[in-house]
Amino acid sequence: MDFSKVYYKSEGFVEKAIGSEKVLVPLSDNVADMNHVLTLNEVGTFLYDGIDGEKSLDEIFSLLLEEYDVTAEVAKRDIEQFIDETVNKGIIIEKH
Amino acid sequence: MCIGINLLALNVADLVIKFFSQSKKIEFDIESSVLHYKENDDVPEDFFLEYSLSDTPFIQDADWSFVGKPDKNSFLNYSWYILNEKDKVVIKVEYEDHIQLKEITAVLDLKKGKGVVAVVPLSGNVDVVKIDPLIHPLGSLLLLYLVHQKGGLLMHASGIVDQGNAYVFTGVSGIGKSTMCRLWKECGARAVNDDRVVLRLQGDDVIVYNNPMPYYAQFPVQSTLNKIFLLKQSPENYIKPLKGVFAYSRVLGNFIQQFYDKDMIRQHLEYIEKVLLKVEVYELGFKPDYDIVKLVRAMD
Repeated sequence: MDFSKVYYKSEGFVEKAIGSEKVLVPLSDNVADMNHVLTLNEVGTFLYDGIDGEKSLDEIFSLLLEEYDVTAEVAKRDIEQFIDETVNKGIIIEKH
Repeated sequence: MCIGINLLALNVADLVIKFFSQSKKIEFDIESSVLHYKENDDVPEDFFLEYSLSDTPFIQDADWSFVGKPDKNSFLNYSWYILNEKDKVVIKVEYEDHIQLKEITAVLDLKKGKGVVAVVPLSGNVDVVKIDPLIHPLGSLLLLYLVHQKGGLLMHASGIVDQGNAYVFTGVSGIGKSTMCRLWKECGARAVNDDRVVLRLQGDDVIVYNNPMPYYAQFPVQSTLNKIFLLKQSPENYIKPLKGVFAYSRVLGNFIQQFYDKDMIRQHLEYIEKVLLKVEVYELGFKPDYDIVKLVRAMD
């Protein structure tokens, strides 16, 4: 995975923080689909919040290492998994 | 004897809604779903809805946010439409086989607490149209937006009050909401409703209420809610507490919502969070016999 890439959030979701986790409600034509909500755990929420159309994955990777007591290897794998999944589901989009 | 009246005040889930008509041709049918929800006329209202008779459709064509077309049945067939029009909610119902009505359109200004309801009868020269102000499905849709505006949720759930404790049971259609309600009634509990309830925060409590249901008259019931149960059919009875984002996301789909903009959706999501901060959520695996009542009773 290319960690110099930058991603931004799709407009097609409404997010709701529940403690340190998050629920994403998909919208279609601005209508909420409450039966297909997505949930993010704490690390997922941290990564999602870091995605802003400006920071590269490298920068988010550094932030994750600062915030959580994880090895570089685990952090990298977490990010790769997160990006794969969220890009697939249309939650985040690569910036070109 | 049926007496037509032109001002009707109802109290539904601690909201006072007044229905008014200047036209002598509209009579509110008070011996219907709203029978036991009457409020004194002099109590200040949260919402004021004026009904009038019209001979032309209110809105011909529009870019509807929602369209509902229930499956054909032998009883009453209709389609409904929701439109977001300049900060107003427009609800239109078209009846296919109602004996008196062709169409009803409600235009709600939620922030001002006002609305107009245009009733189009089948025939232009009727003497009197007698109408349940919460006629199905207009009533369900009206209540959804009125309750939302004043803070509250409509939930697909059955609710009961047992020995001072109130519980709601929710889940997909056919999972056993009304079965659960019946089992509890047979064990001496009082039913709130077996299909739809209102939840509202009042002070430190979440109150569960029933609300007028199509086609039958029930008495209002309300109680402080203790627990929310998500039903699962299971060979063995069990209770599993659900927490945090998991509980939240599992409960979400059981609230009734036809919301079409992000602010409405956000407000809805926040209200659910506030409710779940006060009321615990459990998964309830059950087989339909009285043992499940005993198991739940043992929790309190």
